Amino acid sequence: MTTASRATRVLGWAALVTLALTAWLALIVSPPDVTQKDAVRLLYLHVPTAWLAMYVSFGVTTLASVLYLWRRTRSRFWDLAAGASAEVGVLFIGLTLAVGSIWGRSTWGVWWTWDARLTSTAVLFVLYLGYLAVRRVPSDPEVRSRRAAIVALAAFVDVPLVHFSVEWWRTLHQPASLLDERRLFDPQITGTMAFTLVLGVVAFTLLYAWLVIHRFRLARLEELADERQLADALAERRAEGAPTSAGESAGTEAGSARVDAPPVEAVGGPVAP
Amino acid sequence: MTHLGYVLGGYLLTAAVLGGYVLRLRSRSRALARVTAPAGGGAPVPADSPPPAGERTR
Amino acid sequence: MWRDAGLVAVKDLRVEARSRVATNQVLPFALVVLILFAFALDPDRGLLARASAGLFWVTVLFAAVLAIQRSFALEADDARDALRLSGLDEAGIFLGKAAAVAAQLLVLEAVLAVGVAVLYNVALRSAALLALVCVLATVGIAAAGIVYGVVAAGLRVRDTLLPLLVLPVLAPVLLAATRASEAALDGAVSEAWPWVRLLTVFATIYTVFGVVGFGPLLEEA
Repeated sequence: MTTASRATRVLGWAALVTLALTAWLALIVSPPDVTQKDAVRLLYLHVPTAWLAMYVSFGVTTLASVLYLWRRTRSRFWDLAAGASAEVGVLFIGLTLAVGSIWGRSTWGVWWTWDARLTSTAVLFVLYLGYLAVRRVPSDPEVRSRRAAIVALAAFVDVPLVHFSVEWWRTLHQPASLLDERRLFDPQITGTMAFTLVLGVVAFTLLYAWLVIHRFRLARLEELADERQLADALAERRAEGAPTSAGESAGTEAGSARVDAPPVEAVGGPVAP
Repeated sequence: MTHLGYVLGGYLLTAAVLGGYVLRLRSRSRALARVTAPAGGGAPVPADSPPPAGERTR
Repeated sequence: MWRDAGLVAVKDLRVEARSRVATNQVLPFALVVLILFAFALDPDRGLLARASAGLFWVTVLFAAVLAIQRSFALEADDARDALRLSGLDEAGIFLGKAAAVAAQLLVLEAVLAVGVAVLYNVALRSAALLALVCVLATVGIAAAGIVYGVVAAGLRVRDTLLPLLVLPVLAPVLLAATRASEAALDGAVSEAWPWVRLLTVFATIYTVFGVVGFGPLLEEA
């Protein structure tokens, strides 16, 4: 059993091809920027990952969380989808921050700048790291899923607040040099550059879809494995409590069958599930 | 480092991170596939699952 | 709902009055943080006075995390079960706990404000505006804090999970409260209003969220 299927193979190849095409256009064909020279080529990575993460990935997580919480559409599907999308989203945001940092370093000489967008992105990153942490807390699956869904909504509600507060903070009463910083991440884009950017967004969207599907199926497998382990453990308990003659009853591990079963008190009788 | 050096670094980093993630997904799904594979006949006995604690200690 | 909120708030505050954890531990902790900032930032270079608003609010945030953890620690071991089985209206429980935490934080802030004025040599101008900022920010902190507090309540990882969850969410409050406070201290009162509005929006959103979401958060499967 793997997480691949014909759909994902097609999707995967499409993603790979468009990504390769984007890289070729980005690195070789498209022109360098007037002011930033070659550094602008990082735009074609930074912007797609940022958009995908913020609008698509966390949007899906929020939507899926709502659907999970709403009784009429409640299903494990939505919980797993929310988690898968969030994990890929966090990955993409991490890349956005890293590439943005490299970009800033190559043009401005600093590894970080408190530009409004980078700052908001950093807060977003930590917000959804927290969401992923909540998903990992050991707990009853239903309770954990519901808790995670509500945390996702609480985080989503915070996003516009973070955006506005950081935006105002960095643009009200700021000296002109800081405004120049913003132009770093907003170069004039025309012609080939625009096309490369759009292609990049398409490529990363395909990649996002491919990754989320695989991650979702992996999560399904994990749930199956947990259920299987639980079923096995229960079957063993039942077999242990069974009378001696049925010591080799079906459903137990091969090595545990013993003809002379120990006295009942050692086992404590059959354990009700 | 020239601008191009940073650019290539960025692209390589992206490729490495994404590739690493894909590899991790793949290895986890392979490990789980063994655990969840349906066995033939009788009860499902996943060969790789560790026995519950204390089971074979008699 | 309001009656239950009052019950819970009074109960929490009464527990605090008897055990005095906030006054004996959280408040001194906050003062210690203020002092540590002075060690870190060298008062002689004027940095401390200029940064005082920010340092004040960061200290309040750290103290708030403690206060929120305390709010759930004083329930029975499995806080969520205990609250759910109490038969009280869930929205009321949320409002009551948030109100209790907010009350404690406001007292803390009053003391810290005096601390900042004295230790960092800052004149507390526009006191009414500062008070307004404190109230609005505190309501937001308490509301968001209790929401996340119940998420983390009763978990073994509670103490590390809660700060990770709630502090990023409170980033806008820190930003807005600090900018508004700075404007107030500088005498530039008109600059504070956009920030005051943001604090109001934040407080409203998370209070509503808490009232609506607390029930589902308490529910067992």
